[in-house]
Amino acid sequence: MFHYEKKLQYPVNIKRPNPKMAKIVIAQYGGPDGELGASLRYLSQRYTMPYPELKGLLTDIGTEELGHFEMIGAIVYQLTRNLSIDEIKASGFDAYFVDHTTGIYTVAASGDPYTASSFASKGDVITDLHEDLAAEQKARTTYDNILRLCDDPDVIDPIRFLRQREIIHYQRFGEGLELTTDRLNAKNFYAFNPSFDT
Amino acid sequence: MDRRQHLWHMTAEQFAAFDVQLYLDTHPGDRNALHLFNSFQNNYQRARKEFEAKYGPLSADAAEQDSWCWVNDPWPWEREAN
Repeated sequence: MFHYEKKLQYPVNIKRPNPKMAKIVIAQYGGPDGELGASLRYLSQRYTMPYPELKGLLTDIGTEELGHFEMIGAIVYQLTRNLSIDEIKASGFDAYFVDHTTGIYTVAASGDPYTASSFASKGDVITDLHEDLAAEQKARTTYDNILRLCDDPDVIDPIRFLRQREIIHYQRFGEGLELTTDRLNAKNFYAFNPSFDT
Repeated sequence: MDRRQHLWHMTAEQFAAFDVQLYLDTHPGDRNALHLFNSFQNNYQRARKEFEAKYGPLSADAAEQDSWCWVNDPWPWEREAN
């Protein structure tokens, strides 16, 4: 089960609203490499993980990603406070505004709504861990792109934290993969799925 | 310490413990890491107890309540909470 803790994993405190920036950061709320997809990926894949270390790792990282989803929501929320209609028009936020006002919704920066087809849960530990390693790098690239487009230190600070987490997760998934390949029979070249063929 | 400093201190201890937790998931036999986890976790629990006594519960099931302050502002996504 899940319990709510009434705090962010890392603080978000943005002094200056900036709807243009909100349109960019929302990529990590509902985009193809965003935090919602990350949490769904790991929390779904964990059921068929064959080894206890991996059940733990996917549960813990999947849970952390829910906290990141909340942080991104907080960033977008604080960037879209107290906007005038003129600011909304001038920043290009008007297209989002007409659909959602300033409600927080799971869309990519392009405006496409979140789709579960942006992640996989394949029921094969080797396949799923490679998906996870790639996902962490794709999210890291997205954060690098956000940092390239951002000049507000109040936004840069929590985005840098989130970027670092992608690197740590990549490291841990790499160890998970190593632990898996060590356990698989070296003679079968992984043409065997310990989640299914046992 | 004001609320912000207190929150930062507690959050740092909790984060340190959590980061070691992920490491322990892939290295469950590492005694040094376990020792480190316990030490961060103790610091976090202590800081959290102090924070909750001053500023209200971080979980709805935190402890016996005199009044229902769970719903009190600020909520975590609001600037004032950070």
